[in-house]
Amino acid sequence: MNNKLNSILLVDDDEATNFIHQFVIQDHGACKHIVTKLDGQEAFDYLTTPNESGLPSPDIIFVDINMPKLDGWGFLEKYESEFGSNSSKIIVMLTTSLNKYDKERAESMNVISEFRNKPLSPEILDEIVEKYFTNKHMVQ
Amino acid sequence: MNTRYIFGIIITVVLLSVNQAFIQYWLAQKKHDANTINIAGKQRMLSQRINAEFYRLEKESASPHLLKKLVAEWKTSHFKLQSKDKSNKLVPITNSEIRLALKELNPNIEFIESQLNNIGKASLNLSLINQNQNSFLPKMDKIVKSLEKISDKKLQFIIKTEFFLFFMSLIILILEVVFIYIPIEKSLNLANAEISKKNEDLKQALTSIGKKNRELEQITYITSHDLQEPVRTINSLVNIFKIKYARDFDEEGIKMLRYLDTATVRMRDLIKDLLDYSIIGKKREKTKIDCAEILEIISKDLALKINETKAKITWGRLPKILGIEAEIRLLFQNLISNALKFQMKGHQPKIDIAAIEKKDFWLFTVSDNGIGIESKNVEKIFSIFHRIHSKDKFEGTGIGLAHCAKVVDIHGGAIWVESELGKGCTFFFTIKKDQNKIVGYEQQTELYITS
Repeated sequence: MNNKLNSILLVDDDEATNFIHQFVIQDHGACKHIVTKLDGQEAFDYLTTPNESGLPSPDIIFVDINMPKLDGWGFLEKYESEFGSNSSKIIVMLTTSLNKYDKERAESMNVISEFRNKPLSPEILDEIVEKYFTNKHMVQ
Repeated sequence: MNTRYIFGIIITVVLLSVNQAFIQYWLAQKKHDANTINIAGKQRMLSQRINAEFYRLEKESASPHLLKKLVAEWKTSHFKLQSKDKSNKLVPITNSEIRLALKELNPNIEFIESQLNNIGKASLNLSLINQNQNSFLPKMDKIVKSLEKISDKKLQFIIKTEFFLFFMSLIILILEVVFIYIPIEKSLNLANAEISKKNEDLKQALTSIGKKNRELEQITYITSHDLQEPVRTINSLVNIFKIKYARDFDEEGIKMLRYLDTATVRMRDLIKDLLDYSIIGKKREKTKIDCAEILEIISKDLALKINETKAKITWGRLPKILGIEAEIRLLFQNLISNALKFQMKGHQPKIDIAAIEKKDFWLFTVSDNGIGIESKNVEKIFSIFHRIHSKDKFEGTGIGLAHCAKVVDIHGGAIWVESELGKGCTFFFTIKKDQNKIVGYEQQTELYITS
């Protein structure tokens, strides 16, 4: 598969999980550039700190819920107030929780595009690319 | 305490019996007395009539037939009164004065008898007869009065004794109440208080057990939930390892990797099952469930396995029951999956599901023609993670029937199995009709755990 996406941001406090997700994405071939952050604050700092080519703008952000310092919900709130809820970025909440409260909460937030269970699999990636990036790519 | 109570009752019964026996005895005595007095009184009347009869015979020279009869009666009664024979229904007169007085009257009787024999032979000496009867009368009067006096004395004695017995009974009853029944009541009250205290303790113990149980359930839930993540990580890493490095491994390394893979997959499945088990009953909404509909859905879900084994699943009329739908479905699904699974290779599984209506519950049966269960194992199979077959023979984690048992429990029922090795088995389970009356499973708030 061609590299349809420029970059993906993975936010999870578990390094092993980040490593696995990174591997799955690389193996899938959807994206070459992957950035990993270990908590919400780190991820927010990354997104709000400009580099040589301006603010980093990943196509997809995968966010875990339970994290130290700033958890998934906290990160999303900060993100929403900084960039607005209609950001073009696709934010996917990844969780082990089967908890319906989490699911309801995630669905009520506009900024979240998807709510998926871990682990990230090639199938999930396929679905997301198909759903959000196929048409876009063709227009480009 | 018990013996005292019985003792009290015995005393009461004895008292009543003694009273009754006394009254009965003296009533009989009084009756005989009255009889005696009556006969004695009648003797006076007879003596008068005999006198009159002699006068009539003298005047009219009629047949002495009636006179003979009267004299015979008079004589018989006279000696009856003196007799000590009890068979003539008279109390023998024991008073010696009266006996003597009666004996003194014997010549009077003998005189009349001799006069009666003289009838027709010589002329009657009416004045002598008159004199004889006149002397008999006051003496007999005296005897009757003496008899009456004795009888009256007896009555006085009866009344006095009755009063005495009555007061004795009253005193004994009062003593019984004071020394037996009041202490018994006291100790009964004490025992009652103790029982209610013990009941209270039991209730508390039950509540605390319930609480501990829920804590344990929570621990199971949290542990299995939290274990999922690291197990999944290991699982994923093993997979990556396989993809990235398997070609660099020698045969032994690949074997080890395969074992690692199987072990982690199994661990993942066990944890998933444990989590599912701990979630049973957390969703409380009970709805009307059409069992036949549930079986249709399960048949579709298990279509692959059913087609593969050419299994025949049948059921007749099944009821609509009240329950938690997802869990009733799990219950049927586990039982049917088991029936499909535990079969001899190449054997066509036949499964029949039936329901019988009982007063308070529905009794369901799920019968199969599978390998059956050894009788020593029929109870073990319902405990969690219990397996009676090796993993390579029949796959599974061994939690399916524990699930079933928990689901049935939540629906106020019981589950058991009847089986003969090699001849299939029949699972029985009950579902209570009135789901509101189930005790032991109080409303529980859903566990709140984030990822």
